[in-house]
Amino acid sequence: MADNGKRDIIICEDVKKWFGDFQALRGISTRVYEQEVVVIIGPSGSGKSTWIRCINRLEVHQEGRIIVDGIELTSDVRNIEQIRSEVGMVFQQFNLFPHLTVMQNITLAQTWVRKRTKAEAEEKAMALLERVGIPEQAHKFPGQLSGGQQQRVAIARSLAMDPKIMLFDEPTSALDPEMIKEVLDVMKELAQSGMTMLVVTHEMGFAREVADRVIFMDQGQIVEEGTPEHFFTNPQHDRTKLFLSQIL
Amino acid sequence: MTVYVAPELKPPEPPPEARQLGAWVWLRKNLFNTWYNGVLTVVLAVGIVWGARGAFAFLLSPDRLWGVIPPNATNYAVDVYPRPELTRIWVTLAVVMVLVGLSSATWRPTGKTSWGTILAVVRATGVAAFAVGLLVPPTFVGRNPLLVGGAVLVLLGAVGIRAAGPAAREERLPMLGVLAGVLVLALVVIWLLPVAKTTKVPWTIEVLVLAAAHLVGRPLVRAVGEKTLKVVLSFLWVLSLPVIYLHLERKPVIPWEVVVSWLPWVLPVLVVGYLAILYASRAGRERAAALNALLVVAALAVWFVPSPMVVRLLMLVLVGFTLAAPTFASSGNGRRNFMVGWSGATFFLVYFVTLAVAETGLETQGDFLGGLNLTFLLALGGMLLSFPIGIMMALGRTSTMPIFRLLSTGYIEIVRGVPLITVLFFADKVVPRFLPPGLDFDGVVKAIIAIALFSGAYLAENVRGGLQSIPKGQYEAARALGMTTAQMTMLITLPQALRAVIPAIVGQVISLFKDTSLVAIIGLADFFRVARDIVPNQPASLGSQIENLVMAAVVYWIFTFSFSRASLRLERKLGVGTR
Ligand SMILES: Nc1ncnc2c1ncn2[C@@H]1O[C@H](COP(=O)(O)OP(=O)(O)OP(=O)(O)O)[C@@H](O)[C@H]1O
Ligand SMILES: [Mg+2]
Repeated sequence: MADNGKRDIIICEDVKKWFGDFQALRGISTRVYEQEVVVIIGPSGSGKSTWIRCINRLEVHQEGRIIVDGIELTSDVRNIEQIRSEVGMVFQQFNLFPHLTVMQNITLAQTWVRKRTKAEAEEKAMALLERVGIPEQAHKFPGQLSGGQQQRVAIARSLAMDPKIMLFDEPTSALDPEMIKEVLDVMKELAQSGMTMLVVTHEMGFAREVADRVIFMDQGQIVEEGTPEHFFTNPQHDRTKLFLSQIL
Repeated sequence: MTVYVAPELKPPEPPPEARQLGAWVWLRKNLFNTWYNGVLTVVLAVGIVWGARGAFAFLLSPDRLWGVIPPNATNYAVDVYPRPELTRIWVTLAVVMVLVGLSSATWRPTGKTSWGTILAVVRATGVAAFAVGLLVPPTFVGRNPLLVGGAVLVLLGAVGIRAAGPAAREERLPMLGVLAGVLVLALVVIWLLPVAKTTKVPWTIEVLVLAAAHLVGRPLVRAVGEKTLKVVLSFLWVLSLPVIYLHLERKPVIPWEVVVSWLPWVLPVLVVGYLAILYASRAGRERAAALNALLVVAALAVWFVPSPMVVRLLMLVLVGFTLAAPTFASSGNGRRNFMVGWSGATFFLVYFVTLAVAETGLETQGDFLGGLNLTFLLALGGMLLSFPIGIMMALGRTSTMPIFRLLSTGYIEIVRGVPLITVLFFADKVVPRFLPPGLDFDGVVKAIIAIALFSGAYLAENVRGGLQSIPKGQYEAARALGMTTAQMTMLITLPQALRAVIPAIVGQVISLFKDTSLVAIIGLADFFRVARDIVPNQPASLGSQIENLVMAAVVYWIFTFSFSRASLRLERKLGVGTR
């Protein structure tokens, strides 16, 4: 239980991860409660992606425990697919399926993983396309959309699975400035609707406005965490101060 | 520093009309732009003219026996196939026509072309005919028709293009319509000119069947749904192969007592199969896996107890389906389709085995199918079978499971390391020694299997290349959505990989088509062998080997060239290289 009485939905205990001899995560311990919005910042190579990818097991941690919605991530296959369909993920490079239309991108996993009928899936897809503001693009192919539109489709595709948690790995880093806002607006709306979100981003405006908590990582560990208030007015650690001075 | 502010943003303008280059300007720019290019052009032109004159003088010399080819048309088509049974060939062709017609209505090739393109082809044909007319020996009777006809075509094309103006470039003629036009033209030719005198009627019927199937196909697509029809047709294409083969090689005298004796075996398998698939699709993964283990043991066991071959095969099919059931049949809709698929597979297997055990009532025994028909059957069969082999081997080689990787890598490297002749010979002479006595396949079946195994290894490498070209992000996105490995492969990575390697696959299909000419090594009389050995050795056409080989080369070229053209269109349609 978190202090505010909400349930912990992600629990990480001393999570460690190596790539060969190189240790990418040096013991991450933290808890995320339901409906919390956590923004993760840190220099390149600090292990931000590696950590959130461990949460839906695109990467496998070697030591420590990760518990998502009450289920511990182990090598048992059944758990993994169950977790993955509860945890949506949005990538920096969108990763839409280029051979399928926008509509098919959003309905595919609904029908095959969630076992919905085609009609249900399409209705859901249209509703989500409305929500992210591009219902008119439903029958185009991803290659025919702008980057911002593609990323909004990718968000809709994840949301279609009714996830309890959404992970975002630098969702706006591959976008032109004009398109960043349209994606951030969708994410803000999502945060206000009560979704639990873990967001790796360099968009400090978003962090300041939406985040409940900011985590600063470096060298595979959490260096400092706290409210956006705390970070932008009164950072404590020297490393944090240096980093913030470089990006702000 | 002056300040510039645009008064208002300009609207877009249409692109400038492409400037027509005059012929002289074109020549200057492309062939004579530097002195050494000029020299090269002249030398090459002289070489081409000299070579072409020599070739034409040889081909059109009065010594050539071109007259032997038309009377041998039937030999070329079917070799020694019993003449009273030729209707079987036409019926088989009609079956293929029905499938082609339905497929063209279902997949609806959307390509368009323009009058300009067609007229340009007419003009180019005219230029070629005229050039040939100039190069042939003056004594050749066809010289004047070539010159006059060529000139007429050039004029027709050029005038047509000029008259149509810019409208000639609009791409709005459906490719399918153009193809239909060509077919109608071909029919007109065979009815008006003295070609295909004895086969006019059957050819006309075939074309009508094709057209009818296409026309029936359109409302059918609307009634049944495009997706369902695509799946059904894909199955039918694969199943057409044994059906065609058996129809050509057997006039079955079905041994009903044998078929009835299978019933006590087949019926239980059907009941068990139905229940097993139902259970596997509903119970959790673990229970389904336990059931599968049981079924695998049972499927192996039937090979060791005296039981009909059909049951052994049915059990293998059943194991395949129950293994896939948890993934593909867990929703209501999926389960129904899955059951239909399994019933279909079972039905055709029983049908196939029944025909296979039937006595042939045809007069000639053994492999009598030959000629172009055999070449096509080998190519179609080799192609249809090599795809599943190639795809499975590619998946095996990229799999994370070492045992699959080892097996498929071994297979691919061994097969790619030996010539096709060796594989054919091995299938013909060595494999039968490992089969139970009395069970030997016809040469045609062995050849198809050998060709498919051979081609499958190359295909596997092509598909593997395609799989490796898929960005890691595609796998991650599929995984992040909770897809299983099987779903990810079937829905995301494999379709993209296949699209990416269409050019390589077409190359493979073309070489497979040409490689069928090697089946002579195991005593089959395909098109090439008819041209090389059979026709030139007949009393009426002794000494005509050159003529026959030239004709064979032209026929092979026409087919392979059409394949590569068709694949270019397919590539453009699927947007390979774009998007
Ligand atoms: N598959 C891999 N193999 C080897 N090393 C890896 C692999 N993935 C990540 N690393 C290393 O692990 C470290 C952490 O990488 P990670 O991608 O998590 O950083 P990040 O904080 O997301 O950085 P960025 O802001 O550049 O995305 C880096 O030093 C990286 O080189
Ligand atoms: Mg990263």
